[in-house]
Amino acid sequence: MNFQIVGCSHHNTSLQLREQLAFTPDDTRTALRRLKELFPSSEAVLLSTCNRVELYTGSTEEQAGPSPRQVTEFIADFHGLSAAPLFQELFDHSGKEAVQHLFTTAASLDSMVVGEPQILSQVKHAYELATGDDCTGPLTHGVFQAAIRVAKRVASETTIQRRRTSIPSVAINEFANQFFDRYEDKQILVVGAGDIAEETMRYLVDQGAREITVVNRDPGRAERLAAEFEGSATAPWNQLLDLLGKVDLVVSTTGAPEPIVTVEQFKTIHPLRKQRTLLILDLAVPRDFENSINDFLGVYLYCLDDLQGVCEANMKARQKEWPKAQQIIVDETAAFIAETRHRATSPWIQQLKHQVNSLKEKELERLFNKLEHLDAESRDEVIQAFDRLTNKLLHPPLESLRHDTTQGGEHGLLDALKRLFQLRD
Amino acid sequence: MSALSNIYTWLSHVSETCFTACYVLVMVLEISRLFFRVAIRHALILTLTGAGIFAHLIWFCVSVRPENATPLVSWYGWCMMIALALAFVYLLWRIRFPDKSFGLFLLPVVLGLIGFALIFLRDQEPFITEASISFWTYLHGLTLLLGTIGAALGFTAGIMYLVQEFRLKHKIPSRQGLRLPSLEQLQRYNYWLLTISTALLAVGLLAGIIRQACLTAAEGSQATWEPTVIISSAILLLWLFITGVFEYVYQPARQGKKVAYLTITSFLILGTVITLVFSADHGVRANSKASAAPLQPTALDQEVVE
Repeated sequence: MNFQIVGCSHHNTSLQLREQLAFTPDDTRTALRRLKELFPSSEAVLLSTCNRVELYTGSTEEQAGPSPRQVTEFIADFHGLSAAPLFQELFDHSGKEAVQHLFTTAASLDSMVVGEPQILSQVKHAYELATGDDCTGPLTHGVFQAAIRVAKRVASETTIQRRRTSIPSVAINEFANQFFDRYEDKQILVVGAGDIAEETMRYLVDQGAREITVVNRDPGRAERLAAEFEGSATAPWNQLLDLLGKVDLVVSTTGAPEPIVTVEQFKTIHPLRKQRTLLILDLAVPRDFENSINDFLGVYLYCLDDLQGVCEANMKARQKEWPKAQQIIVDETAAFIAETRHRATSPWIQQLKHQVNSLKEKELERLFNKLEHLDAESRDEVIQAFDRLTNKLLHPPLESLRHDTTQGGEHGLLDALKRLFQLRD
Repeated sequence: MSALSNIYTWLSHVSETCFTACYVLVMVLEISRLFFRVAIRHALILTLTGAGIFAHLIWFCVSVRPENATPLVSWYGWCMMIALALAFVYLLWRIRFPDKSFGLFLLPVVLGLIGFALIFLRDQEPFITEASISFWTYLHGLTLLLGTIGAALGFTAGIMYLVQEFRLKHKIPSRQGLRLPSLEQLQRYNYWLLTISTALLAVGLLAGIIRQACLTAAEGSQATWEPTVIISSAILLLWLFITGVFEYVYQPARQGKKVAYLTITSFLILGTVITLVFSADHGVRANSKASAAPLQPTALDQEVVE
């Protein structure tokens, strides 16, 4: 099996370099097509997210795919960078380690926020994009489909994905979901345009939110943030109170030193709401909303302290689940490798059996020509004796071959078999 | 045919104890969710609930009197039918939302109805047979039954809403094993159950008035208009009318805690009215000596089976 990965991630590469190496969807298509032209027998999938850039290549033929060095040079060349520094920055894995890395990534165990579910859809998307451009093959099909299955197994057999640990993730998935069933029909207000706002909007969009209004003192930043999410809009800062009278969910993340909405201000818009439910997630430090706003009918105000306790409890619970998730990855990797090797030896075993059977048939024909007086019953006995002989002769070597395959083929029995019995491709 | 009659005889031993015991065990399992996790509990709950519903259905089928076409032969059967419907709704909710704690709120209503029926209604006389076949009586009985089921479910949803709303308002962490649906979902249940049960109860009451008017026209002064039934029905009709107008005119009445208060109050008023109606022996046979409780198979039952 000739499968490898070359790439970088948040673990070992700076954000600046990751941004330089990132691929947009169009870049991904172009890169995969170019790679296909350079290495026609090779299969490839390119995964590019905000935290990682990984190029998976493989081939069922020996020596047909690019080497790690060639992949690094390809990536550097595509982005117009010098390859020399990249050799130190990018990592590479091959064979079993590459498979295990993909399984670990897809199961979100390698993510910046462990257990975050977005990575699996990103892996699926990368695989589907490569398949759509005819860049995949039997090896990448097998590995990526197995990776998706393994990720689902980790999600269902452990609680690692259910234990959210980032504040925005907890805010939306553990708090907002106790209020709202769906987000498509909700009007949402995001106050602030920083990293927390961006991350929260990502979770909201994942939940189906379509009407998000971003408000920020700096309109330019608000517009840049809104532009990243389809369906989002901006509004001037002076419309903040008016919007509070209309929306269903508010996420506030400004860096203001004092509350931006006081109780007195809220009193003026509360009657307009007609007691509709309003959830305010105040993720700012110091708080953006005065605490007493929670006392209004139909208003529910949660601040950072309320969320922090849940994050810490989830972190501890997740750490408990980690070994179990890791074991699933290890077991599935071993099973996948054994299955792949077994499939690789099958054609040779079939060829050997065919060769032996062919020899047996010829000898039987020669024998029956000389022993024409044999009755049907005796002929059957002779045929059965030949069958038993060939099966018993083949059984030990084939059994040893299967065992060697399971162990990783370290004894080279397949090569020996091919040479001893002169099996050809 | 003897095999069938053996089965019938065996099934006739299914009593109220069988399905009540199943529901009680399910209630205990639901409560245990608050304290510890067990992998097999969900399967056990579904199995016991299914068994209870099955026993409940068998009990209904076997307890049907041959001369009646409906199991609703008495207030006792009527109450048991509501309990069965609620148990079925619980099973559906449990399958659809396995992690939500509907059972803690709905099962007490189921068991409460069964307990109320066993204690107060078991020896009640059955309904008047001749009147049971009229269209208005069917409509009156059926819509009141469905309306009561809706009101009972609304009551449960209302309680759940208030519990969830209190917890979220006071930022009390959710307890292990006590996961409730979102406020939006509970509000939706409340609103629709209130609307539907109000409509059904209104239709049922009006059908009852028409039925009584028909009886008066047919029987003249012999048809009785029971004062207790008239007054309590009028109160219920007035309450339903006020609720409908209130919801239409006052928007906050359609959401949040107000809907929950309305559904709970509706159920309590309905419960009071029904209790008054029970006590007036409304619809029952005047001089019959037959019991309202299910009978053992009779010779006639045997003949029907064979």
